[in-house]
Amino acid sequence: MESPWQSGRIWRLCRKELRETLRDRRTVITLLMMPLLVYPLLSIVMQRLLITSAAKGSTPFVIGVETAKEGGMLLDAIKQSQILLQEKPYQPIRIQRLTRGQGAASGENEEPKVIGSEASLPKFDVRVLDENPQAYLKEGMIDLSVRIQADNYDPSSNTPPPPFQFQVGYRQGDSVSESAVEQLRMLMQVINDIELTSRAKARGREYRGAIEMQADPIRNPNNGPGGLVAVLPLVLLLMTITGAVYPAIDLTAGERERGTMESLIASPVPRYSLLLSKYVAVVTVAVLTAIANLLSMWVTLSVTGVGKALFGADGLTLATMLQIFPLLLVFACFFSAILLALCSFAKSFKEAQAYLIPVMLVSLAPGLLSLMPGVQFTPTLAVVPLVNMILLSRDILTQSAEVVPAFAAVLSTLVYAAAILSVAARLFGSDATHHGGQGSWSDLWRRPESESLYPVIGQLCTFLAIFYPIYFVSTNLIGQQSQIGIGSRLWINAAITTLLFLGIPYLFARSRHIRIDTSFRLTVSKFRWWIAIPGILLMGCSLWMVAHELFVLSMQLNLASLTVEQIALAKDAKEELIKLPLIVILITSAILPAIAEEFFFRGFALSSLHRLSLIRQILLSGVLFGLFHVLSGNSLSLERLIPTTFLGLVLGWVALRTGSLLPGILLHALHNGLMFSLAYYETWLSEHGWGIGEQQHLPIHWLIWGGTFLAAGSLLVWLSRRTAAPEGNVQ
Amino acid sequence: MIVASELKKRFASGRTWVDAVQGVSFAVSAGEVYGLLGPNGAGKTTTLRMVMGLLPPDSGFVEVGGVRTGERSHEVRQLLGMISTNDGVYPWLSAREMLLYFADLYSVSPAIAEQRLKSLAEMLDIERILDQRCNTLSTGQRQRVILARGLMHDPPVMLLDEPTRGLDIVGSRTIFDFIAHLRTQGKAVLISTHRLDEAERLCDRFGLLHRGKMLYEGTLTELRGATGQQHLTEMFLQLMDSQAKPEVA
Repeated sequence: MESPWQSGRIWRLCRKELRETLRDRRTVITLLMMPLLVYPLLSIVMQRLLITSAAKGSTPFVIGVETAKEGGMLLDAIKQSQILLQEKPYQPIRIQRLTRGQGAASGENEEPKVIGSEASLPKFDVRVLDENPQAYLKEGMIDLSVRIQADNYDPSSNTPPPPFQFQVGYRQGDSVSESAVEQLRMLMQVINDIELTSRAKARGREYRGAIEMQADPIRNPNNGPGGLVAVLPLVLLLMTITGAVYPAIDLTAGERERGTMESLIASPVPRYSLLLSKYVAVVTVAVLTAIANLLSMWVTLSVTGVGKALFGADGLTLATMLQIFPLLLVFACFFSAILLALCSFAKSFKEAQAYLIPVMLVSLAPGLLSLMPGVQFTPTLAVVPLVNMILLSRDILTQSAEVVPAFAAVLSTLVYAAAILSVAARLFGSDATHHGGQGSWSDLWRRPESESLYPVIGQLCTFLAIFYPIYFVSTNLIGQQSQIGIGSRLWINAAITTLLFLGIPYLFARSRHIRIDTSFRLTVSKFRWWIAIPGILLMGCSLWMVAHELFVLSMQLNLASLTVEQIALAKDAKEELIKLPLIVILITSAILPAIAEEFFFRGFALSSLHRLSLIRQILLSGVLFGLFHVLSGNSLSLERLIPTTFLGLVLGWVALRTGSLLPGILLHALHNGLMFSLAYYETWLSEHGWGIGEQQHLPIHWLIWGGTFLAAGSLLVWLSRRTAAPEGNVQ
Repeated sequence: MIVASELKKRFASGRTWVDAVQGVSFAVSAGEVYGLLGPNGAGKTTTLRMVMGLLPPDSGFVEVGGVRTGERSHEVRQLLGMISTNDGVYPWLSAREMLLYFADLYSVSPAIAEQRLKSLAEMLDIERILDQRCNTLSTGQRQRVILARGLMHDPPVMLLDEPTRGLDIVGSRTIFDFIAHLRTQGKAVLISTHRLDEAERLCDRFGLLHRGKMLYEGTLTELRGATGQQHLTEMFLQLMDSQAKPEVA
């Protein structure tokens, strides 16, 4: 049977699909004309909105201070600067007392101080707040927060007075707030440059200035004026979808409508190879559309000046564009799979369009939800399709993206794409194999009548799409429950791990009529246990050394991604951990996870790869194992990638060699148990000269012994198999 | 080249089951044109799909060139060429690009594909239009491109599903010539059609299908002897009536 990954054939198929698609004028129009039209129109709308929201020529900027004394000092400084600048009467500036939650206009007014007016000068309302002005700033009730520090100065001393320290807070990405801080800075500069500096020079002293202003940005929860920045990702994503819609319909439903589908399906090329080539073509057109959109957006925002108003003085930079682009690529992969799945089922253009219109509308709903002010990019939202991409794009545009949710969003979206593509592969060309030329959506969910020995890759993708969000959200929820004691936390973690890695794969396999004993390798008949078990014991005693060395290597390669705070928390947790009995730690953190993880990774996942070569089976399952351990709870531990992937490779080989899950469970439990035991007795070991530094290489003689044990153990496992041929391609 | 034995296939239709094919057997040798005849819904297309390996039979088997379809369906497809009246072309590809694309699907090397393209273009008189995009071709030109497509990998077995449906006299004539050419090339040809008059002119042997059952199989002479009728249409109506009577009773 032909491998679906024959790259030459796939490439030629893709080239034909692309040639056909890109020659079609309708594709080119969507690809080029739409971006050229949309962004200029959008920029006009945005300019209007910005003008409306930033119409501060007549309304004053609102500055919040904590005390009346600070308000008075600030007013004096503003007044002085305005007098110096214009030497004309000025706009009245009022001091208000404001209570949080009552809105900016309410509150008890202080006596207004009339100091003059001048239309061309910036106007400020200074308001005394009842608590920390930062909170008001964050909620958008004031444009700036100011704190003033004045040292006690002795006028009789011969030294010049120290400058007042103005600490000004503003919202980054909010053009009004950013404009206010610039105007205030300008006024304070006037005092320093013109008046006081000249006086100091007259006295012949060196003078540092009267005011030192430090402006500190805060993250803007609304992401720009009226959440306008959040509109851009939504528009970009929708435009990317728009680019993919026509080719997706044309290459699937169009294939049926023009009568080429049956001859295609009758060819000796596997259906999933045909679909893969179409998928690559659709993704390519979607990505080309995304590039055209990004360029058009960049040019439009730069030329019209809207970019500076939205993103600050630098506007939309090339660096930001380069960060957004991979996201659009991921999104294109995701949505192209959805489009292909839907269109694969449609028998005509009309039917495909009827399917797609509701999908586009449904896609808008979460997109619009993410525009709402105050919506944060939480771990839960990071695994919600579409919403995660829009929120991540927004955070990248506002330079406030965080690593863990970003990683989860990208990973989950790719998993969803793979799962949907596997559904599309089942639907594609199904009319050629169904009675009367049609299948049914219910065919997808119906339990197969005949039992299969192993799951297939498509089922693994579907499973991961269900499993990954549950895993990520549940581990995050547990991670956030700081009030739970360490002992309870261990048991809860063990229960969740068992349920997720053992329970869900079991239920999934039952629902798809997949045989349990073959899929999960629940057999002991394929290996000689009296040879394998000593081998596993030797490997289990030595594997941790290789894992440790790979961990140290990862640290040396700067793969560490844990923050200082997270490392400190981990150390605290370790301190708590060693107060528990060792047996509890071993059961909850070594034995139960070993059983559950082996059940999934070397059972279900490895079995689903059985059509691939042995090397690919081991590699893919090992990488999957490594990736799952990188994103643990609410932290990203890149330093774990290499050691756990290595462990996954070894365990994969053991499972294939012995044809059983049990030796792997034993090896996994031994490895985990030894690592935890070493940590548990770390102090005692150090006192007896056996201490192991977390980031230090092991002594060379340890490594020699470890290597010998590992080699001997591997040899025994190799010899333990009852039949000569290794398992893997058994159908 | 083709051996179908006791093929059976049922489909779920709502809560009931439809017996689409009930124990159909036939064989087609090299250089023979076999007509699978019957009215709409007789089970012809389902039988063809089982022969192509697109549908697994519930019971029975199909062998093409000695290879069972259920076991090595991709090998079987390599031996088969398939042409249907519903077949279309890729509007944005040229005829040459489309034909070479199908040759590639069947793993024909580029050099052999070029040679075959040349000879087929000469035979079907499409040399002048090879570099035209398919959306600019006339109906007759498209039909000839589709016929060439079916032979690009030079299959020993050709399946033709209702090849003349909807065609005018000129189009039908092209098909007749094409089938005659296949016969001279020694290919096993399996034609599914409900046009009994055409089948009479084209086929060497016939299988009459009705409601999923093979009512009769043989040459025209054998059929005449068995039914006492001269033409396939009359024979078929007689056989259908004889099948229907016991059910009515």
